[in-house]
Amino acid sequence: MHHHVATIKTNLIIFGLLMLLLVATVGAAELPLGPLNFPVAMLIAATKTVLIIFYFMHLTGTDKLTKTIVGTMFLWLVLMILMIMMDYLSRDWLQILGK
Amino acid sequence: MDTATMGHTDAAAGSALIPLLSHQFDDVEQQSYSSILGMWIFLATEVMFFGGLLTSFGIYRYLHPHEFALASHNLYMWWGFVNTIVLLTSSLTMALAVRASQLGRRTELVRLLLATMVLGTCFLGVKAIEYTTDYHEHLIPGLNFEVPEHQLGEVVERGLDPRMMQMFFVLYFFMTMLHAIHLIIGIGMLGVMAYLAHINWFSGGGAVQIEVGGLYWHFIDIVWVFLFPLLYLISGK
Repeated sequence: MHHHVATIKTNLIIFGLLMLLLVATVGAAELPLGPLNFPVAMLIAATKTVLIIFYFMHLTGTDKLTKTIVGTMFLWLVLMILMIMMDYLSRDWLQILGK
Repeated sequence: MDTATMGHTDAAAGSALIPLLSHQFDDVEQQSYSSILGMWIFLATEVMFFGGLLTSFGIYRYLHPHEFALASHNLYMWWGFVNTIVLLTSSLTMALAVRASQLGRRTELVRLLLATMVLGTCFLGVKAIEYTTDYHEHLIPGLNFEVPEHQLGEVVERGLDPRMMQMFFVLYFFMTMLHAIHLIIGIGMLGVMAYLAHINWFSGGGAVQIEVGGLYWHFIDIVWVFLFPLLYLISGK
């Protein structure tokens, strides 16, 4: 905001990195990684998100309260996905008859 | 604080119909932070909204991986790829628009906002082409869904459930259409902002308003960053 104005160069570098990561996503999907395909795709998407949030959305330039809110937002998202998937992923672990 | 002093002068010089600083804030900086914070809180609710859909997608995909992979192969990956480039580029023009507003370059700001709108519209155009193709290929759940002929053999052979292939398209259309609705709202919002910047309506120069609008636009981009690999790149390998 009032702190400093990002240069055009910074913006272009971030854009270039995002393009590289996009190519990496498509490339990784073609690799025979088996069960690792999905986590790799999500890792690349998360990296893109970090770049966008910090450089395009200027999270570093905001106050602590906003940063806390953004952190909490992702915490709740991860909690939701983690808790629900824990249920589905663990259902077959115990062989209970008639389950 | 430069913007603040500048804004005050502007407001004093103009008719000051809209005060630069609303009375509930201590100073302009606190007011700016509140605007940014407010947008982030709204985005947090949006994250939970899209997050719920992504979670249900994750559950169905986990339970029916083969059906989802097979159904996903009917999408045209390169259209999704092109659209990702279009949307990431629109994020660049949006970031540059925020920069122009911070530097008080009004003409540049309006042009960059218009460029962002054009790119957003291109994205919707590509999506419309994809939806039309999906319609002709009988992939619309509930309306005309049929397992494509070349996949029938595999479905029968492996004992796959066609209803779960349909479920992939239910989630595909729900998420991409919800995303498109956000984009349409975003384009409208940028249109209003471009007009207001053009007539020099913003008493404080508009840097905060454009920044807040930018937050929303970048959020839409982030949603697509996740939707593209989830929907288009389900690898069968």
